[in-house]
Amino acid sequence: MQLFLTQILNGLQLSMLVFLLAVGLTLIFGLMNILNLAHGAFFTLGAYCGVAIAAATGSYWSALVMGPVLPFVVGFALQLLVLQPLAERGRSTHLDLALLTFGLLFATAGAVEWLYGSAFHAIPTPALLSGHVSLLGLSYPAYRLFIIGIGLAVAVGLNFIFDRTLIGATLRAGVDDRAMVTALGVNINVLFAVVFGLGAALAGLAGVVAAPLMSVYSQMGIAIVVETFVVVVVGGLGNLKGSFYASLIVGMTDAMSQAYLPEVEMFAVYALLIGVMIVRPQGLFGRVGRVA
Amino acid sequence: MAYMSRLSAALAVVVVASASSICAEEIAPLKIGLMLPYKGVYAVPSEGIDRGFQVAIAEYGGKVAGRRIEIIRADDELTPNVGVQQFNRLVQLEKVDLVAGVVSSSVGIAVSGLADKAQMPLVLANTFADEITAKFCSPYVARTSFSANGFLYNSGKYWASHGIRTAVIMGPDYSAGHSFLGAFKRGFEDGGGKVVQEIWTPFQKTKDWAAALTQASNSGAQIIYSFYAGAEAVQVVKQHADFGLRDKLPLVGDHWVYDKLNWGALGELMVGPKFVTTYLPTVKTEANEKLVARYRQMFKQDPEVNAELGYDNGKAIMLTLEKLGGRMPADKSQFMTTMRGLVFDAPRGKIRFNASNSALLEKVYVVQFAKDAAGEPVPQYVDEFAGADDLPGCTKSF
Amino acid sequence: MSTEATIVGAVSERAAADPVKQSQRVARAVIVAPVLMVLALPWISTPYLTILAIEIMIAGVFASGINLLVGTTGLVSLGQAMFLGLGGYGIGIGASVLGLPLWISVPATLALIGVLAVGIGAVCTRTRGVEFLLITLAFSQLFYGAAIKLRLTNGSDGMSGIPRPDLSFLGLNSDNPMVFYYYVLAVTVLAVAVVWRVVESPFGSVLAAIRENERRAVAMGYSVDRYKIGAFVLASIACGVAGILQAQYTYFINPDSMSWQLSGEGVLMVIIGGATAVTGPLIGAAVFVLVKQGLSVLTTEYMMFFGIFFMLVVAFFRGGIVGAVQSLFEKKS
Repeated sequence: MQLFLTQILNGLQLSMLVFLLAVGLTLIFGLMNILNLAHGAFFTLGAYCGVAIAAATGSYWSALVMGPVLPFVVGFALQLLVLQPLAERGRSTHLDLALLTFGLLFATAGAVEWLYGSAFHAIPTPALLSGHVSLLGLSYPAYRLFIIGIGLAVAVGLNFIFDRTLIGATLRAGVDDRAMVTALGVNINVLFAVVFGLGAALAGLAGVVAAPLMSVYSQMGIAIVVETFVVVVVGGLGNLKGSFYASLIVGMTDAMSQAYLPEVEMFAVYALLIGVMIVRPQGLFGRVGRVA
Repeated sequence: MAYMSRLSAALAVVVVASASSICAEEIAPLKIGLMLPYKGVYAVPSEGIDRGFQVAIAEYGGKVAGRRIEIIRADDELTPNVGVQQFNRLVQLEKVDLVAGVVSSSVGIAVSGLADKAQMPLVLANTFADEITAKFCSPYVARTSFSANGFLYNSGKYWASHGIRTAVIMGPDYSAGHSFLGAFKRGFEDGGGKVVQEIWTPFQKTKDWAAALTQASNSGAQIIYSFYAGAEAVQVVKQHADFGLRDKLPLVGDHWVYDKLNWGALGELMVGPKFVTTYLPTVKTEANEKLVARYRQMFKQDPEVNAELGYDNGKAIMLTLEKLGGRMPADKSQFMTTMRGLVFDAPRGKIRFNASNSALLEKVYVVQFAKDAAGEPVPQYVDEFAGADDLPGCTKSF
Repeated sequence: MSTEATIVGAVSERAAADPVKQSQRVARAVIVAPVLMVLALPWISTPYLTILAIEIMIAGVFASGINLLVGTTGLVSLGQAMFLGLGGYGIGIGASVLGLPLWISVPATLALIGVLAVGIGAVCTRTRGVEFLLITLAFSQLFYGAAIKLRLTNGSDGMSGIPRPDLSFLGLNSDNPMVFYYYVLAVTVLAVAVVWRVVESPFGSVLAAIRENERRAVAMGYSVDRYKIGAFVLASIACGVAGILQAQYTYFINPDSMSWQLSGEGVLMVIIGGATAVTGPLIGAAVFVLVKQGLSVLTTEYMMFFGIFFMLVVAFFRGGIVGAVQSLFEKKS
C-alpha cells in the first residue's frame, strides 16, 4: 500500500511537470492554431538559463524566478517577428509553421550544444527542499512535493486568470472567434505574442523545475516534447482544463506502467492516445466539431 | 538559381574533400579513422577517449617508422545507421588505413559486420558487449578495452564475498546494460549472493527513476548494483540520493556510474560510495606516470577512465604499426594477427589479447572518491581483484 | 554530378511538355544524358560517390512514399518512418527468426505493411491537418516503443546480418557496392515508376482533388476516405520498400529507423524537392543526403545546421527546388 501511494506521488509529480509544458502548447494552439513543435526548445532554454543563473547567484530561487525570462522573450519575439509575419504573408499554413518549429527544435538543441558543450549540468536541490517529508506514513523527497505544488499553483493561477480576468475573457474570446476580438480593438498580434511568450515561459519554468531532478543537456527538450503532444491531444487541442486532466492521465499511465508493467512503459501513453483518437478524435475534453 | 548554387556548394564540399585526400596521399601519411559519438549523451566520455588517443599518437611524435599519422574524425551520433554511413565515408572517401574508436556496442556490432565484409581493420575502443568478440567476432575486428564479463563477473564475486547477500540490479535495457549486469549477476550468484529484482529502464529514454527506485527500495535487498553512463548516470545518482536511499540501499556501480566527468553535475554526491574501476590515475607505474604527465601537459588536467581507454586504443595501434614498420600489410588480417600478439604495459595494467582479438583486464580496482586540497575528486584505493576471462562464443577461425 | 543533371532533367521534362518543338530535341538529349550517367555511375565515379548515390536512391524512395501523402494528397504525416522500420524489421525477422528466404520475406513484409496501413490509415485519415500529423506521430512512437521493448528483435540493439539479395545465379555478389548499386537502382526505378503511375492515374487525380478541396471532392461523389486510405497504404508500402533497401544497405535494423526525427527528415526532403512533383522527392533526397554529408565533413554541429536548413526551406522555399526551377523557366519563356 505504501509502495502504491509512493507510486501515485511519482505519477502526480510527473504529471505536473508535463502539465507545465502542455499548458503552454495547448494555449498557443488554441489561440493561434500553431502547433509549436519547438516547445521542447523552451524547456531546454529555461533549464540552461536556470543552470547559468544558479551558478552565478548560487541561489535556486533566483534561477526559478529569472530562468523563464529568456524563454518568454524568445517566444514573444518568435511569434511577433517570425511566425506572425510568415502567416500573414500567406506563405505558410499552420502546417508549415509546425514544420518550421520542428526545424527550430533541432536548431536550438544544436545551438545549445555548440555554445554550452555536451556536458551534463544540474542545479543543486535547494537546501530548503533537500530533505524528506513524512506523509501518510511514507517518506517522500520534499523537492518532488514542491514540483507537485508548483504544478497545482500554476493550474489554479491560470484557471483564475482565464475565468475571472479581462485578459482571460479576451483570450477565451480569441480562441472562439479571432475576428471578433480584433474587431474589439485588441492588438491581436501583441496579445498572441504575449501568450506565446507565456507558454514558452511556462516551458522554461518546467526546465528550471526539472533541473535539480534530471540532468540538463542539449537534447533534453527533444525527448520530452513528444510526450507533451500526447497530453495536448488527449486533453483536446486548445483546451486548458483538458490539458490538466490529460496531464494527470498521461503522467499516471507513464508512472504506473513503469512501476507495474515495464513491458509496456515505452508505448502505454501512445496506445492511450490512439485509443482516444479513435473514440473521440477531438480529445477527451475537446469540443465536438472543431476542425484544426 | 539560389538552389543551384546551394547544391553545387554541397557538391563542392564532396569534390574538395576528395581532392584534398588526393593531395594528402603524395606525402602518404597513415590515416586512422576515429569514430566516436562526439555529440549527444556520450559526448563527454568521447572527448576523453579522443584526448587519450591523441596522447598515444603524440607519444610517438605523431609518426611511426617515419610515416606521419593522420587522424580523421567521424561522429557516429551513437546510431548504428549513422555509424555505417560514417564508416563508409571513412573507408571510401577518406581512404583510411584502419578505423578506431567506437563507444556504443550497437554501433560496434553494425560496423564490425561491415569491417568484416570490407576486410578493413577495426580497432574498437569501448564496445564492451560480450558478443562483439564472441558471436560477432571477425578476424578484422579487435577490441582494446575489455568485455563486460571481464570487468564485472569478478565484481559480482567480490561483493558477494564482502558481506552483500542480496542485490537489485538496475540498468539500461540494451546490449551493454545486459552484458554488464548479466556478468555481475553470474559472478554474484556464483559467489553465493542472490539478485532479488532486475529493473531494466529504456536506454536513453528514461528521465525519471522514481518508479524504479521506489520498487527497488521495497525489495529488501542490501544494495542496488547498476550500470549507467553519461546523462543517465547523473540522473540515477541524484534521484537515488533524493529518495534518501544512500544509506538504506546504497547504489553500487562502476566508474561510469561514478564518472569523474560528471563531477560538475554531481559534486559532493560522488564522494563516499565505493565503486569498481579499471583505472586508477594515482597508480605508480611507469606506463601510467607517462600518460599522466603527457595528458597534463596537453590538456591541463588529469586523465580519467575514458581517456585511459582511448590511450590504450591508440597505443595498441601504434605498437602494432611499429612492429609492421609503419605499413599496412596487403592482407589486412595480418595487422590483427600482429596486434593479437602484443603484450604491453598500459596505465591500467598489463594488456594481452585472447584468441578472438579481445583485450583482457589484468585487474579491477575498488575505489571511492575523496576531495583533494583543491576540492577536486581523487579516487582512493580500497581494494583490487583480477579481471575475468571473456565469455566464449566466437565460432570463426582467425 | 548526377544530381545537377537530374535537375536539368526535371526542367527539360517540363520543356518537353511544352508545345515548343525545337526545344524537344534538346530536351531529349538532356533526358538521355542523365539516364546514361546514372547507369554508368559506378564505372565513372569513385566508390564513395557510388555509395552516396545508393543512399540518395533509398532516401528518394522513402521521400516518394511520403510525397504521395504530403504532396499529392495534402496529408502531412510525421510518422512514415514507422513503415521504413517495419520494412527492415520484416526481412530481419524473416531471416533471423523464421529463416525465410528474401523472395518470401520481402513480399510477405510488404503485404503485412499494406494490411497494417489499411488499419492505421483508417484511423489516421479520420483526422486531418495538425491532428493527422499528431496521430501518425503517435502511431510511429507506438511502434518505436514496441521495437525498443521487443526481445524478439533484440530491443534497442536491433538486428544485424540483414540479408542482401542472392544474385549468385547471375554470377554476382550483392555485397559488392557496384552490384548493390544496380540492385537499388532497379528497385528505385520500379518504385518511383509505380508512384508516378499512381499520381498520373484517375486515382491520383482524385487525391489531388482532395488536396485542393476536400469538400468539393466529397460533393463530387467520391468516397474520400477510401481514397485517403488507399494513398496511405501505397505511401506506407513505398516507405517499407525504402526500409528494406536501407536495412540491406547497412545489414542492420534497429528502432532508430522508426524515430520521428527520421520521419521529419523525410518530410524535409519532400519540401526541399517541391511537394507536388514526382521528381521532387528524388531531388529533395539528393540535396538532403549531399548537404548532410557535406555538413558532416565540415562540422560536427550537424544538428544546428540541419535545424536552420529545415527552417529556411520551410519558410522561404515552400515550392521546393523543382517549383523554383519551374517558375524560373516560366519566367524565361
